[in-house]
Amino acid sequence: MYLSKVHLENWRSYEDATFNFKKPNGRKPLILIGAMNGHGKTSFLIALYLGLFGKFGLRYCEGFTQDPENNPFYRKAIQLFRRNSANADQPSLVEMVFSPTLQDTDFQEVRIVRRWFFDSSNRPKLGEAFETVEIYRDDRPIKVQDLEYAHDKIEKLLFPAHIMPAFLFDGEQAQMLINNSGAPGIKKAVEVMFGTKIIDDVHAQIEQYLNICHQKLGGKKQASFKEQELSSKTSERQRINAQLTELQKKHIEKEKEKEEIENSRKEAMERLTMLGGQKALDVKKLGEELLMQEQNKSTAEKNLTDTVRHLGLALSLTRLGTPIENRLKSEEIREKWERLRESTMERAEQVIAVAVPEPPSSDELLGNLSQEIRDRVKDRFKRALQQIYNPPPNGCADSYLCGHVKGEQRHVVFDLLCQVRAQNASDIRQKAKKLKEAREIYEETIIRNERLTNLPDEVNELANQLDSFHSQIDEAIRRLNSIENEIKKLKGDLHNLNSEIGKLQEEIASMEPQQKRIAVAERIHRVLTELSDKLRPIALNHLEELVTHHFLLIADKRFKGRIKFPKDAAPIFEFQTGKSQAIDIMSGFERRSFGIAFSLALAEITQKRVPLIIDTPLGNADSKYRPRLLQALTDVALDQIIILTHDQEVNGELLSSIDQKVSQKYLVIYSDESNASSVFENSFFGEQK
Amino acid sequence: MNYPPCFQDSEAKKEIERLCRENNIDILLLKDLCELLNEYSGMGRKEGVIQDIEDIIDRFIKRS
Repeated sequence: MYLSKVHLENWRSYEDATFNFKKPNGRKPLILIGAMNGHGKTSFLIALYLGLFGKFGLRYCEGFTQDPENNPFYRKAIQLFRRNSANADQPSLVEMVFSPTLQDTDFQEVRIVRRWFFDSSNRPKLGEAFETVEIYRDDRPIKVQDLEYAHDKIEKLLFPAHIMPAFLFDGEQAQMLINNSGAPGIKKAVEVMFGTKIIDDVHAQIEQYLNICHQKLGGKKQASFKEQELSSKTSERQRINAQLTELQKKHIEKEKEKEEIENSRKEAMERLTMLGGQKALDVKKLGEELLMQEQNKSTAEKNLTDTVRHLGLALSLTRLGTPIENRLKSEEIREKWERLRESTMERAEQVIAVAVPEPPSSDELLGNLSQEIRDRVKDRFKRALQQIYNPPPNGCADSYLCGHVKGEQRHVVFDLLCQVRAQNASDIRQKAKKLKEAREIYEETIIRNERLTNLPDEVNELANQLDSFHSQIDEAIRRLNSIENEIKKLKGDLHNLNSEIGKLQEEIASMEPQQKRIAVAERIHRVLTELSDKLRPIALNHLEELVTHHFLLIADKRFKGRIKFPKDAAPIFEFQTGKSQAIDIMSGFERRSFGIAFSLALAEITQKRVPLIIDTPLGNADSKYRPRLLQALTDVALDQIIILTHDQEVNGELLSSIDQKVSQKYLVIYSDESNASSVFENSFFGEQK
Repeated sequence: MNYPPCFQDSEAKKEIERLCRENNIDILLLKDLCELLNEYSGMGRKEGVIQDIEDIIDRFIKRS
């Protein structure tokens, strides 16, 4: 359906104004109604609320949500909405026409005309004379007994009154949509529009039908043997059903109990972690870590001692190493030189014996010399031989400073010096660093050891608690399994009983037509009992998926997750990280986005092609949000979307981006001169004709 | 015919079909009853509804 006409008389700033909306063609669902603040946007929306559902609609009007059932208050409200310069004899009037679109095969045009009458002093008339409603279906009037009947009839012909604000709403009233989408609101909306309410109604009527049928048969006293058997089986089934309900209740309680124990265990674990440090997950692990740290401490101490010892030797030899080595080398040369000289001198007598042989008679050359001369020649030879080793070779020490270090001992000292030289500065720094680290680990271990030794009571207590929680959880799981088995068994019994009852009913039905009807009604009853429970979660799941889909299209990219409608609580956004945020504490525009997403989702889930009428949908949204929100609105498969807007909301590039989806534009201008708002079709801000 | 949307939803429809099969009734019977109650909705006193239910059940018995 689509809204094809709105006619207002003596309504706020409208003296006599008509909006005629074209039949939507699918490609252009948007209608823009532009009006500056105070020129008639909200008056248009309020006219729809009150024109459709009168007193009931007042609760959705901004500023009138309190005490909606109070009748005198309603009269006063209508007086406020009445055009202040209206003639007393002229009523205030709201007329709306809803027409079928091409897809609405079984919808007939509905025209509603609601009038409010005033006395000569322009005060609301008393009693029933105040308000009248006319309803026409395909131009044929429907007899309306009273306002209550009219309300029911309009609900049946169009849509339920309490979901009206999901389709006709002021962007500012998104909070109301959130509240309405809480447990009761969502339940009503889904029940009515997904059809579960009708299923419940059928269920109740079938129950009544069964009672009447049994009464007609004269009650159970008159029943045949088969009927008595059936009655007994039915009672048995009731007993099992009651037992099943009881067990299911117990199951829920036990689940809750288990959850509580698990939460307590989690708290104890967290407390234990805080006491024992990040790595201490439980007492056993704390113990293991304590042992490990003690070992680390011993290793650190050993490392410390070794490092200091090596470091001491290295430090003492590093600076004197080269001079000592040079000294030892020069003394080694001296030692070699002296050894060579001594060895030569030891053989000097033999050399002289060759040069001056004894006795003189054997010396052909110098045998005739006196003994004294011969001795002097020998002495000269000896001095000459000594002269071979003078001066001492280069690098030879003048004397021995380390005379006690000789031969092999000198090589041991050389090796030690090499080792010391290999321990260069960076090696020493590394060792110092290791020493520091070892000391730190050692100190930390001491602190942790102290902390742990000071807290044994609390840690032990927590450990005991954890043990107890483990046992309790095991017990709860055992109990839950046992209940589940009982439930399974009872369901099996119930299934068998149902077949037996079915057979009995068939047998009875073959005897009497009335009993046959009872058998069918019983089966319908069974289907409906189960169906009602099955449909609600399906509907809710669909709704959550669709609201999330539309919300994510509009909202900021940081929203990654899913909207949830918890039982008996306001809707939340559950992030992928596991955190959740209540919608009603989100920013104004995010709440507005949720409201619009909710409307779009309801429209989809219920497959009601209801026109969507939004007053200032963008509000104070920033430049990023605006195109996304408008895009979301135009992308959804709705026949008609009427946007009431002002000159600063949908304009410029934004207007150009949706222009191809706009079928009609209106401009409403209030004139002080005429004290009335005039409606200009095919006009908009900056496009006045 | 204007049935509740749950009869068009694939997931809900599966459940309805399963339950009807298990209990040996057809979907048309449920749809007829829903449509009937939809007609009566908004009326305080549902006079004649019991007779209409019986007629629908009779139609089912006849066709089954």
